[in-house]
Amino acid sequence: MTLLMLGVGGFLGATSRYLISTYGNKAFPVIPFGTLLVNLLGSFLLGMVIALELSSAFNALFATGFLSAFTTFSTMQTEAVKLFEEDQRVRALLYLLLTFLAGTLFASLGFIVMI
Amino acid sequence: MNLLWVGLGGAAGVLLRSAAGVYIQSSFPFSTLIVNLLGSFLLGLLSTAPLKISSSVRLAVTTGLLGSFTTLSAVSAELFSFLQEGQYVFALIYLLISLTGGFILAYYGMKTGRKAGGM
Repeated sequence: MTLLMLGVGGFLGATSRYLISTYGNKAFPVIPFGTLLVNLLGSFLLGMVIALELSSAFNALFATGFLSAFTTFSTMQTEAVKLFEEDQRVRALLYLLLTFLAGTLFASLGFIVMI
Repeated sequence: MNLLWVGLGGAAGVLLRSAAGVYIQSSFPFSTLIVNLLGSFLLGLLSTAPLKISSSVRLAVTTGLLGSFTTLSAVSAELFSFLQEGQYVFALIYLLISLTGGFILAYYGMKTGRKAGGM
């Protein structure tokens, strides 16, 4: 049952990310804005979920399933490498720092609004 | 149709990551770190290697499977948890290894993939 929840969450998370990042990365081409958006939104939602301490079934479906597939680390890093290789080194560094620092900030904000 | 491929890859990626989480358990988030570093190398490799596979399968494996296998939300939550507990040194170590390690591995993955194309 848990495996099914994880799989369904993963399916929905990955497809939502694909839709948002495909449009978002074109909309604001200075940095991969779509990927940044899903990562920050996903971090905020995970902060909320952790504060709520919900049932393990919900966690499997939404936190471990949906949110971990919705957000992505590997795509973000390959995008940073591509910026670096296009001689956009400041942008690459900015993108990395923004992802990690704002990601942590958004997770803490999600946690704080729920307690 | 692309959505279906990304979704199937995504489901597989989450299941693989959960399996890694079951086998690797510690107080430091090694499970997330290993998955993220491995996934960055493999995504770099598979996005540049000239494999004879259809674009649908490539999308399922790259954006779907490897995109979902790795995760940024867990990293954010783990960094927040370190800060909450006052473990600032661990937070900094975890941030630096994730940021630079992921970048270096993605870089070498892409380089290796392109080199395979030249053979």
